[in-house]
Order: sequence, then C-alpha cells, then structure tokens
Amino acid sequence: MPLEQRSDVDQAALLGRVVAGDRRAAEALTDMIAPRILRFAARMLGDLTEAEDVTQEAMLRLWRMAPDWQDGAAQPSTWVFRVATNLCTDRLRRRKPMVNELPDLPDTAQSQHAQMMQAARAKALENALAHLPERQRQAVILRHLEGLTNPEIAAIMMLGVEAVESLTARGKRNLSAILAGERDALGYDDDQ
Amino acid sequence: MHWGMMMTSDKNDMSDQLSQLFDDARACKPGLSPHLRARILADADACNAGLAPQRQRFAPWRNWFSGWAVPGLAGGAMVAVAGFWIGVAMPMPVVALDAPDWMQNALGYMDLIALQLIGVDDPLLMEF
Repeated sequence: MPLEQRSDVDQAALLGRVVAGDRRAAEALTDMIAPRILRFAARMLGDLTEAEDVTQEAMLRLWRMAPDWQDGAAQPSTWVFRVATNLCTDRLRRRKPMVNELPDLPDTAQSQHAQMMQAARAKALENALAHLPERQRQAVILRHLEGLTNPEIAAIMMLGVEAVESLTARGKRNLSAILAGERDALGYDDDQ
Repeated sequence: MHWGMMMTSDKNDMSDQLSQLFDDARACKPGLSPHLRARILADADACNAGLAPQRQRFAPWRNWFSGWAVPGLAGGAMVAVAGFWIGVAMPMPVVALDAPDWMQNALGYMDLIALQLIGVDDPLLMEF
C-alpha cells in the first residue's frame, strides 16, 4: 500500500525523527503528506504551479513547527491540511475572478477512449467544483476526493462534525445541479 | 410513472453519476514531481541544519529556564543580597545606637555645674 494511504504510521514519531536529523523520516513524511496536499490545493486553486507553491509552503511550516510539536495534538497531516486550507483561502481572496483554468492531471494507463472520457469527467467535476462556494468546495474535496473522515475534516476546517456534514451535503446537491445538464456530454449512457 | 418514484430515481441517478465522477477524479491523481519533492526535502534539510540544531543546542537551557528554576534562582538571589546587606553593609551598627561622645560630655558638664548649683551631689537625693 502506498505510504500516503497508510493511516497506521505514527506521523508524530516520524516528525520527532525529522527533528533528530533523520532524513529518511523527512522523506517518508513528504511522501505521505505532500501528494495529498498537492491534489487538494490543485483542486482548490485550479492551478498546479500555485498548488505546488502552497504544498511547499505548508510542508515548510511543518518542518519549522517540528521542534515544538506537542504529542497528543492533531496528526501532522491534519495540521498541514489546515495550513494548506488557509493558504488556499488567502490566494483565492487575492484573486479577482475565479480562475477556471484547471491543471492537466497525469492519468493512469487505459484505453485511449476511456482515458479521454475519464479525463473529461474529471475536468467537468473540477469545473463544477470551481463554481461551489469555497467552504463547500473544501468539504467536498476533503470528504469525497481525499477520503478523509468527517471528524478529520472538522479538525481541519475548525468546525463541528454536523457543520461538515451539512456543508458536504449542500456541496453535493449543488454539484449535482451544476452537472445536471452535462450528463450526455460526460458519456454515462456509453458506460451503462 | 409516479412523480415521487421518478424524483427518487432521478436523485439516485445523480448520486450514482456523482459517485462515478468522484471515482474518476480520484483516479486522476497529480503525483508529486521529483522537483517539488526535492524542494520540500531541501527545506527540511535547511530547517534541520539551521534552526533545529540551534534550537537543540539551546534547548536544555531553554527548558531549564522555562521551568521552576527561574523563580527558585530569583528567590535565592534575593535572600543572598538581603543577607549580605544585613551582615556587611548595615548602614548603622548597633554600637552607634549608644549616645555619642559630645552628648555624654554634655551630660557630664550638666552633672558638674547644675547639680552643684542646686546643692545636691547626688541626683538621687533630689527627692522629686
């Protein structure tokens, strides 16, 4: 199982080893956390270069925080997600109009048609996500694309679990409404 | 078809469609480029080389000062200063509380002159 999907690894212990100068621990934490932050930031910002900057900045703050890390606090990945969320919010507020230019995401090997269809669907979803209010977008991305639990999202967004559930439900309803007209274009009839 | 059933069916369709969209989007994962990974790890190295060792070097002192040691030390220092002041730098020795010489001389003259004027040698015989 890829390191980033493992939840049994004690991230706080790894962070302690980073402080002690263990480079392999830094590599492990980077592989575990940074790809998820990059995906989240890319979906929030719709720009891969900006998402990379946010990822690097959020990880840098983790390294700086490491010597003062308190045991028993949130998981480092939750903390980094929170930092990344704030960084994305700052960047979105600095922008005037919402940028809909979305990153071309590398894909896994498949038949060309299926690959194109999958990319089109992914892009349609990204476009629809871009039209959601910011908090709903955060909640939907964290819940349905990053697979975090509601309590984890609540910790990241500094909300109650019920508020997260409500945001996610409203986000999904809005997404459905936005995507309702694109059903044929997304080729669902071909699949079924 | 009953309207309510149609609504439910549409709702389920949309939910399925959305779930499939989420699945497709999850499959399109931007990976961490080697360049970005190197940048992040370089930051970690820089923090460890600069900030962290410096913090580690001062960490025992910092921990020591941030605990009970400072109030303890401050109390000890205050007691030492107070002891020094009382023991060595007392502004007026106890001996100085006795009457100075000129005052004692003055009293001596008073005995000599006044008592003779009154005609009494011994003040205790004045019978006040």
